[in-house]
Amino acid sequence: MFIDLLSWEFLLFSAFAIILVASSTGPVRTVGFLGANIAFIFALLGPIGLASTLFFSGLGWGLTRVHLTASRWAAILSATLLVLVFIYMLDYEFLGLFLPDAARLSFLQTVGLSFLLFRILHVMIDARSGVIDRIDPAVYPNYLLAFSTFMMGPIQRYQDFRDQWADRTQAIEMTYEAHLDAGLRILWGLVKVYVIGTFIFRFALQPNTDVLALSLGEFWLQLVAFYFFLYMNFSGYCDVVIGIGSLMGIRPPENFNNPYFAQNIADFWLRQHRSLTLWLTDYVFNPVYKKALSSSSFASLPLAAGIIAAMLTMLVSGLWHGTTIGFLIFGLVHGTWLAIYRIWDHVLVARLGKKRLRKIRASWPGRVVGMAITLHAAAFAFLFFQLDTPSVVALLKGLL
Amino acid sequence: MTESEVWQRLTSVFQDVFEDDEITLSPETTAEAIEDWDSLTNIQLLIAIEKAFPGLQFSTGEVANLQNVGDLVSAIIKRVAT
Repeated sequence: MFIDLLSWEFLLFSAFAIILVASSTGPVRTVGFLGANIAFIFALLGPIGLASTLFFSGLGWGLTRVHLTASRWAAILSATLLVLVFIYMLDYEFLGLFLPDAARLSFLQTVGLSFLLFRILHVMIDARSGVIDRIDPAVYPNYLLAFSTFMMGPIQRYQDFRDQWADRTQAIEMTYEAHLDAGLRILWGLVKVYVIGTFIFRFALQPNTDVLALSLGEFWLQLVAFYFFLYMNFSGYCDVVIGIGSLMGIRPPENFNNPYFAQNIADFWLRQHRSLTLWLTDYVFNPVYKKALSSSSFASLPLAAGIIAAMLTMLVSGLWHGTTIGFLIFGLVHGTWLAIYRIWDHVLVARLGKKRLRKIRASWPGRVVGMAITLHAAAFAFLFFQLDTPSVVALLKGLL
Repeated sequence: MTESEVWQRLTSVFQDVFEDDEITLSPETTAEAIEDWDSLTNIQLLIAIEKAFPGLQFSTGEVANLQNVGDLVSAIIKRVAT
């Protein structure tokens, strides 16, 4: 609409927001920041996008109130209702199987809703557990709509945002050096996106590529280039918003830790989009795995229970990333990689023992092999992340 | 159950789950300090802790917010210590 992410207008707006938040206190700061966030969403998505965002936030707040006081089943129902409304509003591709076109919401601007969903669900679950003792009505709307993390995260936890907003914890030290570092971080993020990312994109896989027509060398280059393009683009964006958040006093969590150095696929997800991985671990993997292990069927089969939980978690991750079949396959591929890794690890531990295996993995050949396999496995999964539905369908037909 | 009994029993659970009798715990101990403590063993550990402390059941929100062994001990003491 009127503003693009990481454009000079965005940076100008961020400078205004930093001054506003840093120079005001009390209700002026709270209401001023909320006004800035709403204005940003309007400028980014237009009136329909803003209306969708406010509707979903309001629904989330209402269902959270129900979730906190309701019986166990009503609480599950309220969370499920929120997810169903999310699926409907995002107009998932598979809805075409059940709904006529007239009943679908393909005209909605729903950018940012995926992150909004996970923020709302996290507050719901933690508040019901008593971990969040009170949802502060003066903090919650800004937590949901903060412009810096609205569109692409990182997914900050409510307690972390609240404590920084209330100055109970400091985003960064109040020194010249810390503020300079935050400024340089923004600059470095822009270099990653606009200089390195733009350069790499020239070699990267495009959405409508006929993969089967490529030579092996071309395929490899485009896939690896796309992997690094995504990394530069997303981690560069995170650098910018972490820098902006630091200067505003509400610093989001770190989201990347050199994922190309990961030595296995589980390690990869702790280095890539880390805030999402931790969310999925806490609210999908842990409860599913715990439930499975506590059941009589899987109590003696921890490996199988772990694989099922990992597969389900990656399926949710895939569907969360996007609405088309490619994202579903992206999730399934990562679930498969995790399953293979866990089984392989289990076999190696049984054969070599933990100590010997640890020693092999710590050696430089062990590390290089682990990194190379992980990088290529992750890059391959991104194939389905990038291709549009007709190209994915053509690829699958060609392979079968 | 006193706090020191909680620490004693918890240490024994950690030693059983990670099959390592040399594990010692402090409030600052995190998953980084114990080599095999990953997302899989974390849940196995919590189930073993729930078994070791009758009546204890961690909710999803609580599990999500345990940052270190100190948090774990506080959560246990809140429920079972007298």
